[in-house]
Amino acid sequence: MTSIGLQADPSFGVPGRKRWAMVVDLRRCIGCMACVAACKAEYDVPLGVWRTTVRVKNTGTYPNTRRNFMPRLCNHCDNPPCVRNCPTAATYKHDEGYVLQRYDRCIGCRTCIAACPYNARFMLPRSRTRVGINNVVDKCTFCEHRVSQGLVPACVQTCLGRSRIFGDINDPDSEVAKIVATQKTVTLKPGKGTRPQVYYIKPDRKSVEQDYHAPVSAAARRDAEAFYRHHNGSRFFSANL
Amino acid sequence: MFEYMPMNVAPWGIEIVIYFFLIGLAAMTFILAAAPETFGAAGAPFRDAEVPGALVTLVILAISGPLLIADLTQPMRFLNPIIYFRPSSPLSWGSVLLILFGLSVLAFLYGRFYDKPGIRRTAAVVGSLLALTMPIYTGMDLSANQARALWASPAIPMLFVALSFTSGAAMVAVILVALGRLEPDATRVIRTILAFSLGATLLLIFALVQTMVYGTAELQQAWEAINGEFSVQFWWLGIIAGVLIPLAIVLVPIFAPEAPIGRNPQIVAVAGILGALGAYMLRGVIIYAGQLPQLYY
Repeated sequence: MTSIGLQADPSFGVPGRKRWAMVVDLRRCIGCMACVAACKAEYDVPLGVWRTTVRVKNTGTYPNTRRNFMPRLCNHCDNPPCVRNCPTAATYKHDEGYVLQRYDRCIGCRTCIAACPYNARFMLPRSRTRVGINNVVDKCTFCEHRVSQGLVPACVQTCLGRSRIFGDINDPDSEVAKIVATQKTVTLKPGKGTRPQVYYIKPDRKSVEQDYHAPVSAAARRDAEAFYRHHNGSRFFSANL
Repeated sequence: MFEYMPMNVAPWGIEIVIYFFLIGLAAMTFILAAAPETFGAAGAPFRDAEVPGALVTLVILAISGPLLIADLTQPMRFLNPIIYFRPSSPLSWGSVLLILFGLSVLAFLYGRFYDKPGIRRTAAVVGSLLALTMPIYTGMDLSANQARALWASPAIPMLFVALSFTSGAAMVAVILVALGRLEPDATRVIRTILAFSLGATLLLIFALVQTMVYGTAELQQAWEAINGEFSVQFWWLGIIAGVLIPLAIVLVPIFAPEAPIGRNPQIVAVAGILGALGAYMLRGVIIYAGQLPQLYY
């Protein structure tokens, strides 16, 4: 029943089928943002929107402090609510587990953005310099175009600390399958029933818990305000960008 | 490096709030305008609202349809939800039902102007059923989002139906007052509809508040947002001005049968307008506050 509204049955654990997944080992992440830069370069991701981000959270008070990095991207869920809610099948589930976009079908209703619990989707602006895909919803694709050619995603390729590890979790000999089988991993918001396929090793509690507050530091506030100005001054989508 | 929080904007803004309000308003306006055909003698008090009500419905549809299309970032692809129909998407269903509803209103007016009783009656019944799906589908647009704790509740479509009843009754009252034809019978029926719809709104909001106060972290955060930046819209404009005051006005005749306040057509129309204001505000707060917990996650 869980495959209602999906266009390919979930492939997680199904023999003979591939199921791409990512492990993010947070013990190795140094917050260099190289993954974000590589992703921006790979897809010409416009300013103000992100396919992948590294969230930074400081915890504790001086001298007992810690800075936590939390790379975030589309979780390519095995039960993706964005696919189920899309009215045009512009968002679809690939046979190998990717959640992808058909840009030529997307009407920009943003239902998929509303459906995503991970804030992983965004609207592309009206005009872009080099890429002709505009005014539709976009998201991380796990670099399907690279993976299908035997490469790894751009963020994985560039990760300095080898924090991001990618592979077929259905293949018991793959590194991701071994890590998920032997290490303590968590996924984001498992209670949402989305069965996300990005696994984290040793995240900080503050980075995983549901948190609701406006950015706290003065610099973060300024950054957020600039971001909202870029989006017509609103946290809520209003008219085309 | 500072605490850096890149985030994507929340997807739905004021256009969606206005559309949800207008389509709910159009739906119940049509149901009442078509009531003489649909319900026979029971709907007879609204005979004078038949044509103006259906015309107003058509005008609202003519506004809200293009508004919905303009809200898309690819408006020229507005037929895609029908061409690539997805049964799992309430929005896909809504696209089809909205068009069928519009056609029913046109058929109803055709039957009325060209005196075709069969078409008129069929369009009234079918159109009324389709009208009822308008607030239901908009509510399900929200409740289908399992990720948004405030929205993922079966109470939301029911609440939207109640809000639609309130705003539609208000519109018909205003039409009849403007025509000088809000007779005692119609006033009584509108008062009864408002009493039930406002009462249902109050109960459903109370149920939602209970789930927020006792609920998960996300629901508690939605409650925090409602009581913070949306407190004026929710408490003052939504609950007090939009539900409690009009409910008190329409309930006066029960407790004070001689008092003119709940029987005066103009005052009942004012109660309806206040209820419609509340319907807009409550929809807006639910749509906005439902998105905020995810925005910062």
